[in-house]
Amino acid sequence: MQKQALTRKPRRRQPSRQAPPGMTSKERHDLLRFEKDRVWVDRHRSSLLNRYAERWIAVWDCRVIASDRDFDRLLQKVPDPPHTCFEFITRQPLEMVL
Amino acid sequence: MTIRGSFFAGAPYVNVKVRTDGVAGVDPMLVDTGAFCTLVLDRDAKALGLSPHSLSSASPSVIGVGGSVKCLLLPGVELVMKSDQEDEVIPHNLSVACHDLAHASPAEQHRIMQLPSLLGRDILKRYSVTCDFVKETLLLARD
Repeated sequence: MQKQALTRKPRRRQPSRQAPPGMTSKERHDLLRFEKDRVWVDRHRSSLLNRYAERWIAVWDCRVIASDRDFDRLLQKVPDPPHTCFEFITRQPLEMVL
Repeated sequence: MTIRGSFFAGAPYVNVKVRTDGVAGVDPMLVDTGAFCTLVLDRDAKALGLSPHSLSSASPSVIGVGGSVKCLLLPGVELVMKSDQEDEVIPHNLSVACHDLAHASPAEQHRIMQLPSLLGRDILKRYSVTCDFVKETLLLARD
């Protein structure tokens, strides 16, 4: 019995594989803020038109933090593009058929 | 388990957390039952920091009303959506549309950049989807 135990191959340690985790508190915070910013843009579209017509805007915490006519240039102006709400403010919304 | 979407400019969206080793961000995806697959479009790809060079595997091009577009694949992505219970985490090989913006006119580039990412049937088929345009409510539910 003891000999068997001594000759047994060491069990390969399995990498710890947990169920895919949900969001971290920071991720959740980022998502909720992003959602609030989208709602804010949608509700304030008409007032945004007065100031930012035909421009891209970047919104963070329900505030326009940057704007530009060019999206690529706007990306350079914001600190965290992947978590920033972007929208093109226009009087002639694109009519999409996707 | 129910995921609650939202309406933006009159259209139904789900804000999806996209995460992989090198990328993490939020992508507002238009719920599109006509789309065969979930697709990140150019504007959101740029915002997420996805350049064509960072995408290795080629995926078949997809066709829409406006014509065909080349797609690249971002493997090993997790799409995360918040629900009324645990977060919904979906491992996914994500298609990213890459329009040839360099050869498009400025006006066409501008239109392309306004296209939203699409939450297609590859994801939607997991859920009972209820979309009420009158009340502007969107629910993705499953047992």
